[in-house]
Amino acid sequence: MSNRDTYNTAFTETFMIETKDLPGLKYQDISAWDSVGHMALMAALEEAFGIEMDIDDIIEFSGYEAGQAILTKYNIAIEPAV
Amino acid sequence: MAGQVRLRRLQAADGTLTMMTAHETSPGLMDAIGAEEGRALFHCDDGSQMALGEVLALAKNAAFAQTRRRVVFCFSENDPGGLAGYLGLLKAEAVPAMLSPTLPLDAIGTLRKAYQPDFLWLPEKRLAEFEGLPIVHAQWGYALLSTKASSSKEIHADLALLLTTSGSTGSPKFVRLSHRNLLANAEAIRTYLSLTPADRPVTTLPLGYSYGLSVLHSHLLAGSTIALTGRTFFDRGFWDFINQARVTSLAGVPYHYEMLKKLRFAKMDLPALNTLTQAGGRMEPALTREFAQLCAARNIRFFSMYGQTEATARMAYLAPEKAIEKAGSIGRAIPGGAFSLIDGDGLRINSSGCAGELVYEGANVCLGYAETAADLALGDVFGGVLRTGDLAMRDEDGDYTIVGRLKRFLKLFGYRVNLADIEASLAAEGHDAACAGRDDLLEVYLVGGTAEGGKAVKSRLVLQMKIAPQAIKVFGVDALPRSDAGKIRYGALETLAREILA
Repeated sequence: MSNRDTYNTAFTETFMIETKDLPGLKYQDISAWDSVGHMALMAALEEAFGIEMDIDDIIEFSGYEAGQAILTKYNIAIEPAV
Repeated sequence: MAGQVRLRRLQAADGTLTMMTAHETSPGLMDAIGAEEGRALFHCDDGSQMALGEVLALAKNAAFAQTRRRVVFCFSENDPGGLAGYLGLLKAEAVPAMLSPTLPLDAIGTLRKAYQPDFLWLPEKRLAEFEGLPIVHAQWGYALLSTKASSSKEIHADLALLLTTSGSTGSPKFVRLSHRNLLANAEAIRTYLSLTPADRPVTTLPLGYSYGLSVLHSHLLAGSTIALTGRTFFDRGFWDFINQARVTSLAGVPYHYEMLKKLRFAKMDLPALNTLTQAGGRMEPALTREFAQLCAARNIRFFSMYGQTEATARMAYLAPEKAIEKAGSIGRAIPGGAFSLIDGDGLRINSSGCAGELVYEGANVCLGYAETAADLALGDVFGGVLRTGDLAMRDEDGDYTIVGRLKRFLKLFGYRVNLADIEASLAAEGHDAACAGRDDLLEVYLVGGTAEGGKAVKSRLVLQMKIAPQAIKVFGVDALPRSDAGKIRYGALETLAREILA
């Protein structure tokens, strides 16, 4: 699985949404991505990529695109969308 | 005025007219808060302040004055218009029914049918959904809409406020609270938390949630200024605001503490913080102990608390000095309240170490429930006594611990969810299913379910209950364990061979 697939799966499984809904998605845009959902998303990404994120990164993880930039700090490159 | 004696003309059998006292309502919370116009009630996250005078002026506004003794659906968020509108309605002696600002239109429609509210207080962003209703007042990004409800409903003189117990599901079951309830609970909380004008809480909980309201009421009574923000723990702006506003206390339900742990609360620099409170359902004793220890080391008071909307909010608290040693205990009844335990025959249990149903008595016990507009005419049905439905034990020091629940409900993120209601909604869709679980985790046992079917059930429950998918697990089972009488044996569910579907 590519990093993008892993990244997308964390979103789609946590929020029960489709991959097509991901571009542009931001924190609190959908009811599933509330603060409880955010905690679950962070846990899912940490587990999937084997990382532990810093508090600042957890707080600044404000959207699908913003999150990709944050993950580069942990040497995780999300491949360009196909 | 809520303290005023009203006179009513009564015609006696012999035709003479007598003047007599019809009803004397107890002093209201807003009376107790006083009329010091310059007092800062809210320190807002845009840096502005809102003074008590602004709320008092809103209540006197001609449109708000019309809400007196009328039911008003109040969709307040944690923002200046939301808070001022709510307090303005209380001051104007309306009967606000507190509803989630994200409640879907069809659920609002169902509630409007049941209660025929005369007005709605609504954020402007939802105005488009109510196009036919005239705006009678607009301020701070909110509007007061008239529903032009025709029938005049009888509303009991003691009724001050209507709260739901079930969050954003839109259940028509409301808890009826009196002015006396609100004031008594706010007084008790102010006393045991030793609140002063120097305390500064922040809005971490929805206004329509009894715990959120109790934080507001108790601090308003104590003369405190409240830091007002709609942001959550996961917004950068929240933590900047906490420090900038010099917030002294945080209130949270168990998932807030999970978040604080995730955010490494131990390493946060929050110099003004001196109090944490927790309520809204059972928190893992290990997590409670962890926070109790962290707080002790940082000179922060940690209060484990217990309550229900039927008791306005609060019934018990554990003194902070016992927080580590007795992690998991709810402590004792709040000032002015009393607990007792009863057995299955309703007899009082006097010995310690025996489990029984926890019964609470106090001036904060609600008048009763309502399910339709007609119920708003009812007076005090509960008589100051609340059977909590929780099983508890008392230890030798007199502190209580909740050990189980008689009624089949869970608290999901602080809100109560009735398992029988969920089963009924699943049955209506043709599923054979039973529900169980614990606070913050709803388990659905689906007979003959497939992974796809399980996912569909979960998706629908997430939408219907407006909760995070993480709070629901759907299991597939071959059959539900039943007694000879055909009743589901819930105790046996967990021992079934089960497969996680979603």
